[in-house]
Amino acid sequence: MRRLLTSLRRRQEGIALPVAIGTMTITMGLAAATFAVVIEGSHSSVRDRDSKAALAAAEAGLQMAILKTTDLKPLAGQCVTNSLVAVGSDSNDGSTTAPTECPRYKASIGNGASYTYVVATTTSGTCPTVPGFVATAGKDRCITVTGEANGVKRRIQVRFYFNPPFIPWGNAGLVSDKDVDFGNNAEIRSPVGTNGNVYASNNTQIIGPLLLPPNSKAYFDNGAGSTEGIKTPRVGKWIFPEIDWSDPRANNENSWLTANNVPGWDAAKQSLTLYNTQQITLPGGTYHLCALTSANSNWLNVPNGQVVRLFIDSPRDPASGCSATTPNAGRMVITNSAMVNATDDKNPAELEIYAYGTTADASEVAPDIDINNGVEFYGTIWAPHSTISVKNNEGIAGGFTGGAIDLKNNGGFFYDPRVANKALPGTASARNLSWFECKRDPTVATDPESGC
Amino acid sequence: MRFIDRLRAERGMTVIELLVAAAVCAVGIAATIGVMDNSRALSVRSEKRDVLAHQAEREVERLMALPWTQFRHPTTPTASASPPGNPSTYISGTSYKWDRKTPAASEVMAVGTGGQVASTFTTWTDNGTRLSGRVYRYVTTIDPNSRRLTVIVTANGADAPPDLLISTIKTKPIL
Repeated sequence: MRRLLTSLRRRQEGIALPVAIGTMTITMGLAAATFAVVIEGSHSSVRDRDSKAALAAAEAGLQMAILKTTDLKPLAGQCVTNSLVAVGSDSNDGSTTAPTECPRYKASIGNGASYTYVVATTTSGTCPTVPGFVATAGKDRCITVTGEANGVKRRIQVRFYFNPPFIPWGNAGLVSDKDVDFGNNAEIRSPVGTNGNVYASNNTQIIGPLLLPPNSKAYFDNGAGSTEGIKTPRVGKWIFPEIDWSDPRANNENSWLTANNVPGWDAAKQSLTLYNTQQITLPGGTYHLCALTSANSNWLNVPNGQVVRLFIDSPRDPASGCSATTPNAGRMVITNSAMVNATDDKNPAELEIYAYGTTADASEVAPDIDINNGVEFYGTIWAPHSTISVKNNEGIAGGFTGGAIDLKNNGGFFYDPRVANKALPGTASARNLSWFECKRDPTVATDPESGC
Repeated sequence: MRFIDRLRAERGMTVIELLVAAAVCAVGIAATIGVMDNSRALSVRSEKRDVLAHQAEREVERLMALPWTQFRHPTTPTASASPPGNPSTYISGTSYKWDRKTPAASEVMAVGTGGQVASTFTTWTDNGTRLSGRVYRYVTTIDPNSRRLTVIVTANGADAPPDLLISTIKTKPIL
């Protein structure tokens, strides 16, 4: 036995140290491999974080591209950056634009993230739709957006359908479905359009063309006249699209009136009545009312750069929630030296009035829109089912559309070009026909839509 | 006896070998433990960063789905000094500094009745409640038709990664 142990001991010949070193080498190798994996995992999580930020940036760019497209209303051959530009224009990121492509527009969203979008014309770039959506050739636009965060890029592409809105006052400041009646020294500095007839009497002067369809006529007496007469060739019949009332009913800023305890505001009746030198400045936004009454030298102001939309609904509208017993229900009555949007820039594009109409054909006994006695009013009025009556006033400017228009007694009306691009809400339509994620960079450097 | 012969005989060498081997093992084990500990810390940090990113993404998607009139704060968020350096310290009055890298990049926060974007931070925990932290959200007004959303997610604990910040923009197309 003793000889056996001695033999075994002799045969080990220094094996413990190599075994220990070998074991440690393997262990440390495994540890190093584990560490490498962990390092890669850490880098991966950083990339994942930046990837999410990059996708959020790309979505931001897509939102801005769509907003700019709907705001600027490009013609078919125009590109959109932060303005309307021609194909082949310079990009703002320093990259070269191919002569047949639209330029890139780059902007930062902060903290190291940015987006770059390309809004193609209807022909300069194409992208597919997803199943279920129908492409409209010549109208759809391809929007390609790259989001970038800390060097990580995500690129998305959307086919976007946009049908531009109806522009009510692009050609004329006063438009009516039925007759337009001017009288008693009225001075009309505006093109006038109507599907009815124009009656001008008692020294009324119309400074601007009469835009009448073939069957409409113009009658002048007692010194009344028009500087340009009826424009030829005759225009087509004026159209009056219906607007969407469900959105202002559901989404509005009426709660601001309640929260600020505005005197004269009756939340239950959705009625706003201003009297006796009261002043109110409405923040920009949409307000849904059943009646608006303003009188006796009060002021209804709109902050510069903001747009106030007043939707005056009517008991005739079953979904309005308006009661016929509310005084002036369905009407806007502004009288006695009231001042409406008459401060600062007096920009009529910043005040929009929409009236549902108490009748369907402007046959109401009392005019739905009644602006009377020394009023200053700067705004737009869309009331195709109502009579707009404007009498004995000081300064009226903007763009008016009514079922009928009655404008008399020394006052005047001035067409303000700032309303020429105003769009009728709810008459445009837009939708995304696809959403694709693309390769991080275009596969063809000169083609921003490639690689999707 | 010659030295070589003594080595071959190996008498008394086992103890020395064991001591040297033990020393090598000790150094190796210490190094391995160090590597493993760093790996563990890095893994925890990565896991927290992943969770933060998912929390932020989820919050961005939830808020972006809100209707325009709800995509704002019900009341003006206010700054808080605790803990030091928290995201609310970028609030100044009614404005929020949306780009920490640009000194002047502030915008007025969007506030209004019916707003559904919380004006104060909320806390988050993972399912196992091992990880937790806060979510801050700020909606600022770029112009009447576009608002900027900034979501910042923080994590609690010693191994917490830096605040995770994601920004995007919601617009109201002009139709």
